[in-house]
Amino acid sequence: MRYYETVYIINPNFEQSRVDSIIKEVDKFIGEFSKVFSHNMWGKKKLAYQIDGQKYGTFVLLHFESESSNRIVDFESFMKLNSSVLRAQTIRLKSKPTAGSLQETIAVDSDESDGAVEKQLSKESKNNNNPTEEADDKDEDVAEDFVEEASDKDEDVAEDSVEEASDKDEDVAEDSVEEASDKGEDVAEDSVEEASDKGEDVAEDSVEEASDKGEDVAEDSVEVQ
Amino acid sequence: MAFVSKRKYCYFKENKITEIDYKDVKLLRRFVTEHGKIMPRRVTGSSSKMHRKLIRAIKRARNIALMPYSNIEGD
Repeated sequence: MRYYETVYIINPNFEQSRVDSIIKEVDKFIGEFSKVFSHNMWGKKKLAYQIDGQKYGTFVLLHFESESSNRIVDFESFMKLNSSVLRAQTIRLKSKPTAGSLQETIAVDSDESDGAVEKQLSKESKNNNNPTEEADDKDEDVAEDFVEEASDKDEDVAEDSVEEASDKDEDVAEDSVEEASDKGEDVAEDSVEEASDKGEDVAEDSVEEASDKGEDVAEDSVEVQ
Repeated sequence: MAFVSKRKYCYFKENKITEIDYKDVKLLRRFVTEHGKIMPRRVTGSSSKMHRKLIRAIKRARNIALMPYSNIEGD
C-alpha cells in the first residue's frame, strides 16, 4: 500500500453546489481503485501567480491509499482533462496520513492566511510592531531597515524644514530690519535733505532777494546819482 | 578577529524538524528571497539533508501556486 496526497484547485467562481459536485466526481473516480481517507475543502486562497487568468482558487485536499500506480497516472490525466480543475498535484506520502495532521495543516494555513492579512495591514499602516507574527529574521531585518529608513527620512525632512524655516526667518528678519533701517535712513535722509533743501532754498531765496533788493537799491541809487 | 559573524546553524535541526510539508508556506517563506528565489545553503545555514528536502517542498508549493516562481515586484 502506498499513501498519496492530492491538492487540486477548483475555479473560484463556481458556487458551492458546483464545487460539491466536482468533489463528488473526483471521489467517485478515485474510489474505484483506492481507499479515500479524507477529502476536504481547504478553502478559497489567493494564488501566488495567476492560473488561467484566475487570482484566487478553491483548494481541496485529498488523502488516499492505493496499490496500483498505473491508476494514479490515470487519475492525474483525469484531473488534467477536467476543465473546472485549474491545477492538481499528487504527492506520495511516506507514512499514513492521520486526521490530526490534516486538521493541523488546515489550522496552520488558516493562521497563515490571517497572518498574511495582518502583514499587509502592517505594511499598509507602516506599523511594524507585530511581535506575535514575525519570528522571521529576514522580515525583521526588512522591518528594521524600513523603520530606519523612515526615521532617517523623517529626520532629514525635519532637519531640512527646520533649517529652511530658520533660514527663512533669518532672511525675513534681516530683510525687514534692512528694509526698516533703509526706510528709516531714507526717511531721515529725505527729511534732512528736504529740510536742508528748504532751508537752503529759503536762505538762498532770502539772500538772493536781499542781494537783489540790495543790488536794485544800489542800482537805483546809482541811477539816481 | 575583525570578522566575528553570528554562528549559522541549521534551522530544522535546531527546531527538531525532520519532514518539511510543502503546504506550510509560512515556514517555506523564510527560505526564499523576496523575489521568490530559493536561498543558498551558505546563507540559511541548513544542513545538506534538510536543504534537499526544503528544495523539494518549495518546488511542490510553487507547482500548486502556494508560492511564486518569481516575484519581480517583490512581495
